[in-house]
Order: sequence, then C-alpha cells, then structure tokens
Amino acid sequence: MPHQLATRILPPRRRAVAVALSIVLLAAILAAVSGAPSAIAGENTGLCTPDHSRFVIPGDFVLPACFDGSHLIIHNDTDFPLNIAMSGDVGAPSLQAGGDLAASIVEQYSVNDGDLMPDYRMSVPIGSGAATVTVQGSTSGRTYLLVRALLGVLPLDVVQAFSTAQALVGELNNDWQKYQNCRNSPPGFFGSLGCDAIYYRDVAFALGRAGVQFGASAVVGAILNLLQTAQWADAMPGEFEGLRSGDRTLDIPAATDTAPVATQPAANPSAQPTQAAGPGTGTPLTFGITGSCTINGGTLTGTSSGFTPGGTYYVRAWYPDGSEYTNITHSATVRADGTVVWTWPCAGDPQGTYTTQVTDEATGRTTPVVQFTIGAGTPAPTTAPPAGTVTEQEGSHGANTFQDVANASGEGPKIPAMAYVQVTCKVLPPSTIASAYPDGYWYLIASPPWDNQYYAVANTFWNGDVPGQLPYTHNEDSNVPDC
Amino acid sequence: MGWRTFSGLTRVPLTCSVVLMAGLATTGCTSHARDGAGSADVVPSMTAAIGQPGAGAPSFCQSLAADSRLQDLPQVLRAAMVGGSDQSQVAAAVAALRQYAADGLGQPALNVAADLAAVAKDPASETAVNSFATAARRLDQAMEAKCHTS
Repeated sequence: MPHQLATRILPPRRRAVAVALSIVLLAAILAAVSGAPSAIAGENTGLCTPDHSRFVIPGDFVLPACFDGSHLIIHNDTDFPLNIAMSGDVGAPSLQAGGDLAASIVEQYSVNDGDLMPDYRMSVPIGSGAATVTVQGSTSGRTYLLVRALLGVLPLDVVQAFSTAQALVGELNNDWQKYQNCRNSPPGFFGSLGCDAIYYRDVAFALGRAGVQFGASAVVGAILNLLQTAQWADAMPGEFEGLRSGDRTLDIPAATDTAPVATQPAANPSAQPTQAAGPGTGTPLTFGITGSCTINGGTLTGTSSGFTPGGTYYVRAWYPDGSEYTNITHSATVRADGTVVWTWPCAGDPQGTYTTQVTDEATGRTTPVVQFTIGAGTPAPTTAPPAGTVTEQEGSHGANTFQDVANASGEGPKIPAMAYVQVTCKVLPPSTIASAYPDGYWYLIASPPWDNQYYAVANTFWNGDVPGQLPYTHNEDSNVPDC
Repeated sequence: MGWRTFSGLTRVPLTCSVVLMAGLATTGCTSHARDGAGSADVVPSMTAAIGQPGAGAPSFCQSLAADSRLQDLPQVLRAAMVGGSDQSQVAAAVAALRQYAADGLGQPALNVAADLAAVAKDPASETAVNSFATAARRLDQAMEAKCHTS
C-alpha cells in the first residue's frame, strides 16, 4: 500500500490526520490478516526468467516468487513484515527495497536475519544441493506498525532521522512494558488508575521529545490506541501462517538428485519404525509412532534414529481424507543422538487414520509415510439427561462460568475441555463481554456442580460443529431454548 | 483445534479477542471462539475489582463499590489526561472521594481527590502524576483494611 510521503502535518490538522491514520492503519491490518490472495501469487515471471528444468514454483505458493536456476526471488506483496527461513544449500540473500517508507525505516534497524519488509524483494542464491525456503511471520511487525503510524503524525524529517524514530519506538515499547508490569502488580482498582496515569504521561512525554506537543491530544490518543493494536502485531508471526492460505515452503531438490522427495502418502504405510530408502547414507533413517489417543485426548510420540545431529528436519502430515495438515511446526533441529522430536496431542482432531513423513534436510532423505490413528473417544453420556435440557460439548480449551452474564462476575467452576454438559437454555443479554461475540449468547448450565446457577459463553462450545472440520459455523445451538 | 508442537515451541492460535482487539470483529472470529477466548478477556466492573465488602464492614464500603461517579474513573482519567476531558465528571469523582473520606476512608481518599484534580488540571506534571499513583495505591490499602474485614 503506497504511503503519502511528502506531506508535513501541521498541528491544526493533526486530529483529522490521526483519524485518517487509524483508518489507513486498520485497512493495512485488515489486508495483512485477511489473507487476500495476491494478484500474482505462486510463480511470477516478472521477477526473473524462470528455469523449470530443476524446480517449478507451486501455483499455490503464498508469495510471488521465481526461480531462475541459481537464484530464488521472493516478493513480499503483503502489508506486513515477513521472515524467510532458509536451510540447505543456500547463499547469503540480498534485498531490494520497494516504495514503502516505513518498511525502509524499519529495515535500517531490523535485527532479524531473513526479514522481508513489505514491498521488498529477496534474492536467495541456490547451490547445486537441496534447499528449503519457508515464509513465516516476523517479529518486526510491531515496530513496523509503530513506524507506519508515526509517519502520519510526526514531521517527516523527524521520522526520517532514523535515530530519532528508533529511539521513539524503543521508548514507546518500554512505556508499554512498564505499564504492563505496573498493572500486573497493583492491589486494586485505584492502584490501576495510578498505572494508567503514569502510562499516559510517559507516552505523551515520549512523543513530546520527538516533536509532538503535549496538547496534541488526538495524536496522543491515536498512539495509545495504536500501542494496543501493536500488541496484536506481536502475535502475527504465528497468526500469519494460519491466515494466509497457500503453501509456505519451497523444497528445491538437488540439481543432481534423481530420487525426488515423496510428497503424497503411500497407499499402505506402517506405524512400525521404517527405514528410509534415501540415497547414499551411512546410518539408516528410521521413524515410527508409539502410543494411543482419541479425539478427547492423549498424545502420540515418534521414535526415530539416523537423522543428522544438529541438522534440520522437516515434518509433514495429512488428514484421513488426504488433505495436508497445516497447523504444525514443520521444522526443528535434530537432537545430538540423531533422533527427532515428534509429538501429536490428539484432542480436537477428527477421528481417523492420519499419515506423516519426516525429512532429514541435511541429507535430503525422507522417511516412508507412517500411519497413526486417532480413536473415537468417549461418547456423549448415555444416562438420561434432565428433562428439558440439551447436551453440549465444550471446546478444546474449556470455559469459565459466571453468575452474571453482563460483566462476567461471580465466577464458578470451570467447564473442562471437551466435557459434555447439560444446558438448560440460552440467553442474549443486552450487553456483555466482548469475547461472547459473535452472537453474544450464554448457556445456563444445568449439570452439577453448576446446577443452573452459572452461565458459560455459548460460542466456546462445539454446538454441533465437528472438531477439525472447518469452517466452524455454529456460535450457539439453535436447539437450545431461550431462557 | 490446537497447534501441534514438534520442537518445544508453541504457537498461539488466533482468537476472537485478538481479532476484536484489532477492530476486526468479522466472521473471521467465528471459527476460533472455541479456543477459549470466551472465558478470557473480561473487563471487571469496579465491584469486581474492589471485591465484596466483608461482614461487618462500614456501610460506605458497599455504596462506594457501586458509586457511578467512581465506576467510570478509568475513562474519566484518560479523557482528562489525553483529551476530550469532561471537567464535570472529574469534579464529580473528586466530590465522591471527599465524601467517602468524611464517611470513614479518611486521608487516603482525600489525597486521591486532591491529586486527581491536580492531574486533570496539569497532566504534564510529573510530580502530580507520581503523587496520584502513590496516593491511589494507598487508597487501595486503606479500603482493604476498612472494607474487607470479616
């Protein structure tokens, strides 16, 4: 998203600018998180002259990219800083700046290797060996949001003076941390007010040192709001990966590799430790899975040997229907004894037979596909429920209960994760806590120990949705009568 | 559905509260509510923050906890310091604190009343803000001593 760079904001216009800034920033956030597909995702021949003899960029790759046989070029066309993780036979990447001023400023003092700012292009030299390149979130998102906001409220020359901007961003971050520490320690209502007062003063002082008059209240207010939003940005490294659809990893095979890595599950894999059929290695690569579990709980564990100590391994897994399981941490480091960590908490996943596969990236060897099964688990209680109630199953994190649905006060016992309870009725209060939305319904819980004395937010229950089968569409169960 | 962990690192799933924090309360929130957001981000009322007065506590404790002039103090303070200040609300809160000082809370409430007025008048005063913060904590301690007796 292009920025207006040439306008120096005069004090009388700052309120309007702050409002406009909020809108622009929100639009940027929305674009970043919505996962709006790029116009030219996957291979983009505008970035290079592609060489398809060794590798073709998948059409669903999350960013525009191009491989010319010796260099991989990736363009960050999102409005959020990303990070490019590389392993295998790769050289030092080079960067080409785009037209985003905030990105250029953050880049001056970004400390994360592999960070790719909005509208930047990265060129990664690829050797003759195998290489893996993965797009992931960056921890620079918070700083980027702050700088982008400051561009709208501070004199341009101040922001462009990198040392000033850097000091201000650091000071605002420190002010926020100090505020959090204060709020975590006070004994009560009035003590919290004291924390608030110190925080407001600190932020106003920080901005004042950078050229904003203390009386420019709209600017201070906008920055205070932004700092709240920037906390959300802290979560973006993980959020991005779940929000923007598409393949995030490129596995580029070795130039001389005649045994391409398998990418689909085999027809009849085994759960017993299996040996890799990879080329030219000393120690055999083995991998198996032990343990049992159901949709209600339990954890499976991998047993392995023969991986390259200190190297990187890469995990893939597939649902029973063959679609790839994406909510996993794919890459990690092989232990010193040549084993890898593979654990699978089963709660919340649908029943069935899954498959998984692990690649030792240092050698390019891949294990055969290994099966594992998640059982059906404990069915809903078969005892007759109290008359007039409906059975509902809690979600995978459980839910707190309260006597007062308006402000969530009068806390009761927590409903355990995945537990079945009897619900008497649902209520839609005129106003309630934010996280009760969408819809805002609460259930009155009939089962002991709640005994129709406590309510839980309806959208924390499965409400007929099946765990693991997206999208989840039921925020409440229409079979539950109104109170 | 939680994130799987293969390296000891844990990812944070998107929650409704995160979406709401960013002002994006859209249908994107729907599929994540079951991850527990519904029981997490609760903004406590003043009653919840202060707690229920203990048995035998003076009567002003109960009325203080439900006093609308104090209930909105967080918003009033922000407005006073950041902009859009409604001086009548500050004055009402100051008057309430003085009343409870007379009813039995004593000097700690008087100090907060005085410092609140000073902060509203000059939010850039470091001395006033620090004094208010200190007085506010002492008022909490005074309330704990007088109102939470069993």
